[in-house]
Amino acid sequence: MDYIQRLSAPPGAALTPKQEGPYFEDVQVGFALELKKPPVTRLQIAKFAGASGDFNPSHVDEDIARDIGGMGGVFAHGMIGMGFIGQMLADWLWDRPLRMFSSKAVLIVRPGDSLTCSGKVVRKWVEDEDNLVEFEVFARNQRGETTHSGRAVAVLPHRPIAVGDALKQPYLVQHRVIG
Amino acid sequence: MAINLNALGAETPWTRVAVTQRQIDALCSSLEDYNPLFLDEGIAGQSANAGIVAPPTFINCFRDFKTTLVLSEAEVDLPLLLHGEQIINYYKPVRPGDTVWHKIKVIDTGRKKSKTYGELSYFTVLIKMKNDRDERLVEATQLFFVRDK
Repeated sequence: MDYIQRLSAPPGAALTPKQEGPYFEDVQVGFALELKKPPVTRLQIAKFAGASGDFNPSHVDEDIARDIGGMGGVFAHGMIGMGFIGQMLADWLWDRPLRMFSSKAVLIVRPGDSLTCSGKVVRKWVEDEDNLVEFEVFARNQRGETTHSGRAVAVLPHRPIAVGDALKQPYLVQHRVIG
Repeated sequence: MAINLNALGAETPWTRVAVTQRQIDALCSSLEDYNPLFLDEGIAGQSANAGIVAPPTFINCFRDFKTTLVLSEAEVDLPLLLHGEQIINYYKPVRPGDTVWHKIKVIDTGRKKSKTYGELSYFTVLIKMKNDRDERLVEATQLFFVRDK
C-alpha cells in the first residue's frame, strides 16, 4: 500500500479494508466501540499544528504556555482528541457517512497522556429516507478522566429486500369461517 | 483580559481553496489515522464513497489566516485561549481535487463563569464550506474560551 510508505507509517499501521460498512438492522442500542491510542507526543502536537495551521503557542511553545498561558506547559489541541474519536467512528463506519459529530473538550491533554476513545449507540431511528444511529462518544486519559465528550449521528442503510425472496410472515392469514 | 465582545458578527469573505491529498495526508499522519478510505485511491474507489474522502475533522485544516483575522478582531490573547466545543454537520463529502469555498463568522460572544477558571470570555465561530455549485459541504460551530489571566 503506497500510503504506508508515503506517510512513513509504522509497520502494521494499515487498517484492513472492509468490503462494506455496517447495516442498520445489525446495530442495536448499547452497541459499543473502542479505540486505544498510543501516548500523545510533542511531535504529534507539532504535526497537528502544521496540518491544521493552529500554531497557538499553548500547544507548541513551552515557555509561553507555562509563563504567559499559566497552564503549566504545552498541551494538545482539543481537536486531536476529537480526531481520535473521529478515527474510531470512521474505522467502524467504513463508507457509511456521518451526519453530525460533536466534541466538547472537558480536560486538557498533555504530552504523554494516552487516550482511549469509546462510543455507544444510544438511539436508532428513521428520518425521512435515512436510517440513523446516534452515538455517545468519549475520550478518557490513562487515569480514567474524561477529556472529551460528544455525540455523533451516522446514516446506515438497511439491506435491501429482494423481490422474490421468501416472505418471513404470511401477508394474509386465512381464517376458517365456522358456520 | 476580556475579549472585544463587539467582534460579534465579524466575518471573513468567502475564500476559494483547493483540497489536496497532501493536506489529508498531513492530518492523517498527525493523528496516526491510516484509514485507506482517506489515503488509498484503489481501496477508496471500490467503496461506496467511489474515491478518497476527507476525514471527519478535516474542516479544522481550513483555519490559516482567516482564523487569525477573527482572533485579531476579537482581540484574543492566544496563550489564554482554550478550545471548548465543536459541532460539525456534514452535507456532502469533501474530496482531494475539489475546489471549495470557506468562511468564518463570529456568531456569539459573551462572559460566563467557569468552575475551573472563574469568570472568562467566550466566543463561537461558524465555519462554512461549500463547493463551486453553492452546495453546502460541511458546516461547523466552534466554541472558544478566553481566560482573563
